[in-house]
Amino acid sequence: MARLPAPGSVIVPDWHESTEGKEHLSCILRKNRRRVFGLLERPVLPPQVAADTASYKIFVSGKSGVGKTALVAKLAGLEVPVIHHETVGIQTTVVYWPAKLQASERVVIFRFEFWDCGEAALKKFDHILPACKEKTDAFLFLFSFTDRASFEDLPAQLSRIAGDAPNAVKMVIGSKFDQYMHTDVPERDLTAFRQAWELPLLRVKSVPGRRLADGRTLDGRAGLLDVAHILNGLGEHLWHQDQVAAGLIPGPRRSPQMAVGQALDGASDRRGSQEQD
Amino acid sequence: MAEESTEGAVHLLCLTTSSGVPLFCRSSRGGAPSRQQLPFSIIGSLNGVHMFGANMDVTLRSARTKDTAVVWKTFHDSISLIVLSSEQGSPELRLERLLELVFGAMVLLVGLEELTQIRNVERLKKDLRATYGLIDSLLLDSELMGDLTQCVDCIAPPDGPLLQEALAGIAEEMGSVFASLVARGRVVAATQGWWRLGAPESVLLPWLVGTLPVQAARDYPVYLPHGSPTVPHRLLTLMLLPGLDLCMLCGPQPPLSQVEPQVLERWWQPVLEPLRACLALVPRGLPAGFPVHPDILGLLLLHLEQRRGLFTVELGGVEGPSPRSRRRLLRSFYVLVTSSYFPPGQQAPWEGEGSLGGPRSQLIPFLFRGRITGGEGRGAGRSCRGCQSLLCGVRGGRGPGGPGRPGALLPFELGEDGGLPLRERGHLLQHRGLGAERASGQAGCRGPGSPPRRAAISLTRTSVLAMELRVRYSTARCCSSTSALRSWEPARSTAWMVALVSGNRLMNLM
Repeated sequence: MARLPAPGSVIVPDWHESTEGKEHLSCILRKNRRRVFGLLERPVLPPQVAADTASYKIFVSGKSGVGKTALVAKLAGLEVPVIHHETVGIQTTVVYWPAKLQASERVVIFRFEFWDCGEAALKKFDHILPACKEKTDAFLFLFSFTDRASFEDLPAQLSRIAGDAPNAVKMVIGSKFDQYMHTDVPERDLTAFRQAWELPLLRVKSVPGRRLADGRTLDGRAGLLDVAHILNGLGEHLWHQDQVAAGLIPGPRRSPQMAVGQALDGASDRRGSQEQD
Repeated sequence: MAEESTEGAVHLLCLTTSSGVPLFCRSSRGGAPSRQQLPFSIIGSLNGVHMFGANMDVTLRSARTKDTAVVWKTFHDSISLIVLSSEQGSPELRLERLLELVFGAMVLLVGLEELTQIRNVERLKKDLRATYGLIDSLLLDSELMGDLTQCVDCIAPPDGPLLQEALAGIAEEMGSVFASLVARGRVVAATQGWWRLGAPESVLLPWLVGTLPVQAARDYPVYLPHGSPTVPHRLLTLMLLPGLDLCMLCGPQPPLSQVEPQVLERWWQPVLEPLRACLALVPRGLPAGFPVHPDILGLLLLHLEQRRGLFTVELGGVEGPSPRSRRRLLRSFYVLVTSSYFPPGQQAPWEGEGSLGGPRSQLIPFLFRGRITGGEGRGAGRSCRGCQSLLCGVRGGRGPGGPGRPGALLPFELGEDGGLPLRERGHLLQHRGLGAERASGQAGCRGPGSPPRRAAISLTRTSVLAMELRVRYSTARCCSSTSALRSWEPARSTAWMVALVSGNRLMNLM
């Protein structure tokens, strides 16, 4: 397992809120809504600010009902389904995210391809898991703060799903963090989990996105701000992993001292790297 | 428009036949989703009365109250569907088709085995939630017509052959026989294999793709209700452009991960512009340059042999009822025609042995139009003065009279407000061939009091239904071939010519 990058060490954390960042964000927005891109399309930037695209495949895993589909919809700026039902088969969603690299000050457009599948389909059909795992760059493991079983299932998920992919990025995301009054997963358990697994951990709230003035369509820009820490965190780990794989930075080295407290969450991401010591 | 005043509700109930456990209940009101649930006692009694009949060896099929129609249907002795509709113009035929399609949708996503051998009702209820989106779309106002016509909704793209070629290419590379391009639920192009899919999956698959939330790609297990109800296939959908999906039905291979963006780009980047043109075409359905007379506000073209249909109410005219209203009118008209005049399975009088004038394959499409000349004709203007009339036409088989036998013209009056209800006034105009009509000079029109006569015609291989609203028609003509048309007075026939040529060219496009 490669050493985890410090939050904010790879990607400029609040760049998307700067003037330059906002300009770049406009390529994934249209009239303040998130643009949907077909597989034949990609965001177009003006020639003077053209940026490279880095594509990654990310498999979203987790117990049924933790909110995998809802998380992906949120990241893509789409409506979260009102009625819950298990995802039928596999569905993939493409999210483009421009970000600025700390080291080279270069802007890169990340193309995240999220693979989401229902747990029942996974069990029922043999072809689904191999297709999802094939050439995956990252695994997102979801648990819900309101469902303790989904948290306790994480170690099993980690070994079952990502056991044979040692070089892929693994991240853990706790959903429904807004319902902390009813949380089944206390902070001390999270700390213990982080220490044991040395994995980045993020939290997301499952609150409805802000709407535009018409009251119906989702506000794309506000939605992006809500999920920026996840997209940046994901981009950071994936980019770092690529650099390690290419031999540009030191390879895998276990260093227990460094691993403690390296987890990200929304707050620490925005605050940059001050939590690292 | 009085659209709001005509809001009826539709309730769909699904229960297990043996135990009467409700599996789900979906509702709509005024064409929009509704969360109103029927009280459990009503659900219970509706099921009870049907069960009571079944115990007495009596099958209760439908019932009608003052404003509501109820239809029951049991599938495989395992699933009972009940629909209650207080919408205008929903005779039993439409509701029966709805139930069949709903069951088809359940099989499509859950599989027949799960529905006929119910081991765990709670599990089944959970699985059936995946079908809500598709089922709701069948209850709501739809831009499609396939649910009624049982034909695949299509659009006619200007660059059909180019798209067809790319489609065939990628289907071969991916090893799939069944591939199609679907633009918002309408088929733009499809391989021969895809067209061979039976009903109802041929209608349901594009419909499903049109109702699912936006995804870049999907690998959906589907059970084909007709072709393979117990063994799932994989439906791969790839969103080439937002609203335009490439669909392929596959076996275990290829995995979704193999359909990479590079493969898609190789096949589709060269035809990107024609693809974009398809999306722009969606509400209209016909290429921009295609001549359709401005008075024609809506059009339904059915190729019953190939089971394809083209349904559009956005041909450019902005006058008249809203597209939603036009759609409802044309749907109501279709329901009325198919249920009252041409019930399925019933033979037209000349369809008996030996009396056929020729094979059905020689039929030509037909399009009706009324003329707005005012004051001419035998009593036609009088009976309809001040009303808005809906003129629709059906063209069917060759009668014993030979090739000149045209179809029937069914004018229906609308309310003063131009909205629903569609009131049938018993007008039925039946032409006895062009010769007879020309001899009489004008087409006749029966008075409102006379009973509707069953038209000696059936919806056969090709039928074109067109409607024209806001006319006080005085003459209406029909004709069966362009050559016969040419002998008409030019002033009157121009629009006809356009309409008829449109019909023929459309048929070639499909």
